[in-house]
Amino acid sequence: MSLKLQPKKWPGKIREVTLGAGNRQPRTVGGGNGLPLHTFEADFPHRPVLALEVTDINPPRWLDIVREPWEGLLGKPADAARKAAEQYGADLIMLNLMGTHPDRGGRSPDQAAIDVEAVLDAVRVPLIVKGPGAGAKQNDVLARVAEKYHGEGLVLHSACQEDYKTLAAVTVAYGHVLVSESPIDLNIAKQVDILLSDVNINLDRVLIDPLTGGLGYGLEYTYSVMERIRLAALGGDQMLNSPMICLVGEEVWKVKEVKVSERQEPRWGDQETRGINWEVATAWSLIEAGAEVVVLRHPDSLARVRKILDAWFAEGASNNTR
Amino acid sequence: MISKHTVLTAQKHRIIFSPSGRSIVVTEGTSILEAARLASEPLPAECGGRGACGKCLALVLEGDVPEYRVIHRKEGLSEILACQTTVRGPLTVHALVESELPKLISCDQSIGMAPLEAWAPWPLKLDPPAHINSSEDLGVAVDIGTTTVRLLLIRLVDGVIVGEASAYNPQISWGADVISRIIAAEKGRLDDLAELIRRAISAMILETTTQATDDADLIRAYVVAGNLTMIHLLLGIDPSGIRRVPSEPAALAFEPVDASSLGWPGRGGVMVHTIPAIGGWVGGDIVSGILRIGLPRQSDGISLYVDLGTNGEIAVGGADFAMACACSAGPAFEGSGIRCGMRADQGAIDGAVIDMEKGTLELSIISGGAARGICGSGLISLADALFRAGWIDRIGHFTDKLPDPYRLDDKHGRALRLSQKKKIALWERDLAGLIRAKAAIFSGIRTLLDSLGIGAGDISRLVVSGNFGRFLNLPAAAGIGLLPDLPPEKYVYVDNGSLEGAALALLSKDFMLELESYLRKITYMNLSEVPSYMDEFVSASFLPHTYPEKLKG
Amino acid sequence: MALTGLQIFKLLPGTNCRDCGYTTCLAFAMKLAAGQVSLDKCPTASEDIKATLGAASAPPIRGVTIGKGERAITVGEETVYFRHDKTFVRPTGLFRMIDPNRLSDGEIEKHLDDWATIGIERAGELFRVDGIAMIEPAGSRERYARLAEAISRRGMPVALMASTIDGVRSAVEKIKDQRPLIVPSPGVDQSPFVALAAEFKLPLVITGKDLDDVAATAVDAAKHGVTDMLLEPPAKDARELHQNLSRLRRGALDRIHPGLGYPIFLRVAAGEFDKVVIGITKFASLVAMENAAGEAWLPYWTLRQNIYTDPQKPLQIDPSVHSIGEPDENAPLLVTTNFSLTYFIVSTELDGTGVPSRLAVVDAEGMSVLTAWSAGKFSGEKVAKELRRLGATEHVKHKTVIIPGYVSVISGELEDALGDGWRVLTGPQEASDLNAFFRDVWQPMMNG
Repeated sequence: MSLKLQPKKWPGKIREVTLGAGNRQPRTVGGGNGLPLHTFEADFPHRPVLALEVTDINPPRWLDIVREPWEGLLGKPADAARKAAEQYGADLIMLNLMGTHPDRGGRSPDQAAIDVEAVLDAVRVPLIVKGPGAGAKQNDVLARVAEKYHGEGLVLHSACQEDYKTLAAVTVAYGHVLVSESPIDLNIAKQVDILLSDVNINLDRVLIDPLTGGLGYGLEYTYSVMERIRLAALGGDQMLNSPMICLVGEEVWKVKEVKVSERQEPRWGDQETRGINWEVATAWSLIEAGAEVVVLRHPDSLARVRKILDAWFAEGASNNTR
Repeated sequence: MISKHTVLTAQKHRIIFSPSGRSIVVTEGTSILEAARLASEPLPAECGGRGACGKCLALVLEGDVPEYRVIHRKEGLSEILACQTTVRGPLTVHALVESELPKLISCDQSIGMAPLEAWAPWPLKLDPPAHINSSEDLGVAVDIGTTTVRLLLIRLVDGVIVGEASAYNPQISWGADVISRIIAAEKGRLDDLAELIRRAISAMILETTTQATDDADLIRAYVVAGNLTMIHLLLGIDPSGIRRVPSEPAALAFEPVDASSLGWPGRGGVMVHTIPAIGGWVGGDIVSGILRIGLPRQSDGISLYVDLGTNGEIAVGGADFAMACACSAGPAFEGSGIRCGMRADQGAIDGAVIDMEKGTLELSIISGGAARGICGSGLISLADALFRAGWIDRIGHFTDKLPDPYRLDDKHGRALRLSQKKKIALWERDLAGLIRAKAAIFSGIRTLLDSLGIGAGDISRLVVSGNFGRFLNLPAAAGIGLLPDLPPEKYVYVDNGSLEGAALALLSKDFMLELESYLRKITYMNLSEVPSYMDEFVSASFLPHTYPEKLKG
Repeated sequence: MALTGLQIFKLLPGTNCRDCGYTTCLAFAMKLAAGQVSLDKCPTASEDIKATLGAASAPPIRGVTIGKGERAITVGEETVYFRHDKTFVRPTGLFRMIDPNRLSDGEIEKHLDDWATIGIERAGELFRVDGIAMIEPAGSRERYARLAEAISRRGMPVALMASTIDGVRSAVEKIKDQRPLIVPSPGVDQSPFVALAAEFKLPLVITGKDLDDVAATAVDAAKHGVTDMLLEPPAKDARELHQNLSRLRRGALDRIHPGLGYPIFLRVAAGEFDKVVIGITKFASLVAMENAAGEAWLPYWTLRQNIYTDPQKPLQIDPSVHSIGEPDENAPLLVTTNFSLTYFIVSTELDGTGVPSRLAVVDAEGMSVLTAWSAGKFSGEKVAKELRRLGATEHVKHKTVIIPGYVSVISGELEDALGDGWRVLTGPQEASDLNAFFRDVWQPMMNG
């Protein structure tokens, strides 16, 4: 008696979103018509992509373990981006404009624009630009950057339910991609996409950030919300079928389990490997749950996740090999 | 660390309230709201002092308050929330929000009606639970809501309503929601709370008997419906068990008590009956309401009953079974909890239409004249009209389409201007309150229906009750996603199911007996124990709904 | 098809007699629909309804127990493909593989002593090495039996990674009462192992060249009397592993073949970190791992804890005082509830401020701050009692505790209950404002 394993077919599929335009080498994500990584029964025209995070200032609280690969480049975003793309193999770069936050120096929108320009000049890969976080400053910084580098298909991170109009407008006007952020909540994720759609954003220009809980720190919430978002999308929900982005590095590298040394907790093993394992486990779980864009901090983590993805998608992007 | 001393020493300071001049000396660290309560200064705090309602906003005329508590500055003076601000030195403060002390509102909507003819769900014969001595004898039916109290005076010999009154529940100064009231009772205020409601009802009885006849002593019987907390507080019984998990109320049903023990009129042996409850959070008010709509005799189909009060109550069922739940909707539907809210009374905006072409807003106002405020049905109509016109987005924020003449920006945020002379307006946070309230109700409905495995389309009758006066704009209620979007013939509106059921119980012993026997068929569902309720709530917190298809039958 | 509460209600007698312990027949029917109660509780249920309900209730994946006593582990019994549909019930067993061909008995004993005592507490769970997978030593049956016994003696479940039937038989005979799991090497003739498992009524791992083969072999083993099995799908790389795990789970849940309704066994070589991650997230029931140290185990355990948390009953954090950074006696002391999401958010934001602090997580039965307050679990008195019990009050000199802004209402009561000159400071309502709160309130206050 042989098994009748029917491939699971779905009415919906994930939107294709192209990151980067103009002088960027564009990269498209999404398009899959099955559960994440279920390459044995569905078509995936594009594989998940991996980004590395660079910062506009010397990040005050990064651990030595994540500083070491960026020795001499922290706070030099263009140089760090070049190394990330050329040497570490990042598919794209996330420039974290943390220095624009009022508590971290409060760099001006114009200074932020200079950093963005330097990174755009240094690399050809698509660029995610992360603002200082919700509040008026976020809009000032990202709107300035969006206007100045129109046509580059920047990924602007991020708009939320309470504050979406400004960034929606500049995304439409200047041809960028907008990240819609929601607090680990399926319904709010959909609500933000509906609100964006109501102000005439084409959802082919939107990524959903479901908010990442790191391993041991809410990962299970993010994981299940992402699975539910993906199921809704495959079920045909046009307001939940944007590809998802997860900011893994920043969640992972602040938790107790990566900060404590082996000397303090001998049972926990080698601190550096443990930290990278933590980042890989978080990233991979979320890719299984549906992440299409994953932002990491440690280049070794990127190399390890990339190796799995390379083997997975070795037979070409479309893997319907049944 | 140098000034640790000042942090730790418990000094005392005098707080003076303006303009009343009341003052009190309190320990450093006491909140200004607490000081107001101690000084008997009527500073409203509907949220019970959680910094949520904004009603205890006050201006500091003299003295220093912590900088981080300053919300706004006006001509060099600081505005603070009294509940959030602690005393750190001598102060003089001035309350900014007009204190909404309970006021008595008379109305005559029902006078002359005979409940047994107008409201009885099946034929009932006049048979009050008290001996009638004279043709002048009276009975009183009361509904004690968390926000509103309503009362009917009924002539027992022919069952005709001769008087009617309604008022805000004066316990509101201890918080707008039942939890705050229970906590106040736990903190030794049980007697105060009991006294407040008993006296308020006494006053209402005096008011109505003056309308009808001069002799309150003709009253022969009382029937009171209300949620279980209100009944506990009325009877002076410790309500703390209600909020335990699981809920452990002192009792669900109470023996009748002598009216004189509550300080109510009635000569010798006049009894006050209360409608029994099903559970800590599903009280006699909903039992009264579902009997009023005749659930026990409904032979086929399923009815959905929704009581839109501060404590929203929902029941679904028929002759064989009913399932009921309660959800905390907040006081928005009763015209409270919003900045320019008021009861459905003269001067209240109770409807709105937007002319899309002209970009103008037309209001309907109860009894005409100038707008004094917005009542529950007005709030629902306004939200629906604004949403349809695109003046607000799906989370209740004003959009660029809001025409300039209607736009108002002030310290409370952005608002829709509703009156040029007096400052009547609808703020974004009022809309947020309404969206929360409607989401609580609709998600309760969905959760009940889902638990039974039925859809909105299986509902044969949807009965809506609430303190909306004569009018609730049902299409608008469905338009904002408060109620399922059903064909109009399926809707029934009942002004106040709880009060009307109490009136029927006052006039018919049979009705009360049937009520008591149906209790056994009612299943109580605790929404907080249903894992999907929060999800339903969040998805309903959107206009009209995150999944609009869920509104449809 | 599962019946709804209302459908079941219509089958019940409708007496509302309350003998089942529920207030109404409807309440009982809804519990039946949710699978939370058995129909036996109803004294008057008809045979019809018993037949109707019985058919849908057989579990799609068999539960299998390995080991005996306190550390015995049961796997399987899963009912869903997505954890949010209900919950994953039996956490993946993580077994450490030992290869005696590379170690002396003395070394093995030392390792066993060590691994048997590992117990790391995290969020209410004790992380342990769930069992030992002992590879068959070449050339000595006796040694295999001795080593198996050495594991059992320490109370740990045993998986016998056998290459010869004679070897495993000697070990099985020695510890047959300890319910060891028999794991034949892939590719060997499985029939003698099937016979052995049937003889001793022990759990057995079934392998095969593909899923068809695995399923057919399982059916065959069942015919020969083996009841407890784990299936080991082929897994040459991460992708094939994921594919087979996914298909096995779905096939079992859809009941497409009787040979699929068993838990899944997975063996991984040293360094195959990704395979273990896939195994834990995607339905592996038991994983036997070669050389892996704490830096791998800690993420495995934590991932398993996350994935197997019941999504409908969020994790509670153990009440305790958590240090953020390296707080001294002047560092701020904050208090919140032990609802895990609340804790994660507050601790993350606190960490983000860069101000060393202490966060006292008090027992509020896993409720969020406002819910706990509503239910009386976060009253001033309760919080004071918890702060004393946890010793939070002993760490700081300033005698000040910061409470969540939403419950400013408890500040007076808490101050009274703490007494002794303690003062309560109302913090912000949202954790994201902690940074500003420290900057604008705490620091100016402490610096005068």
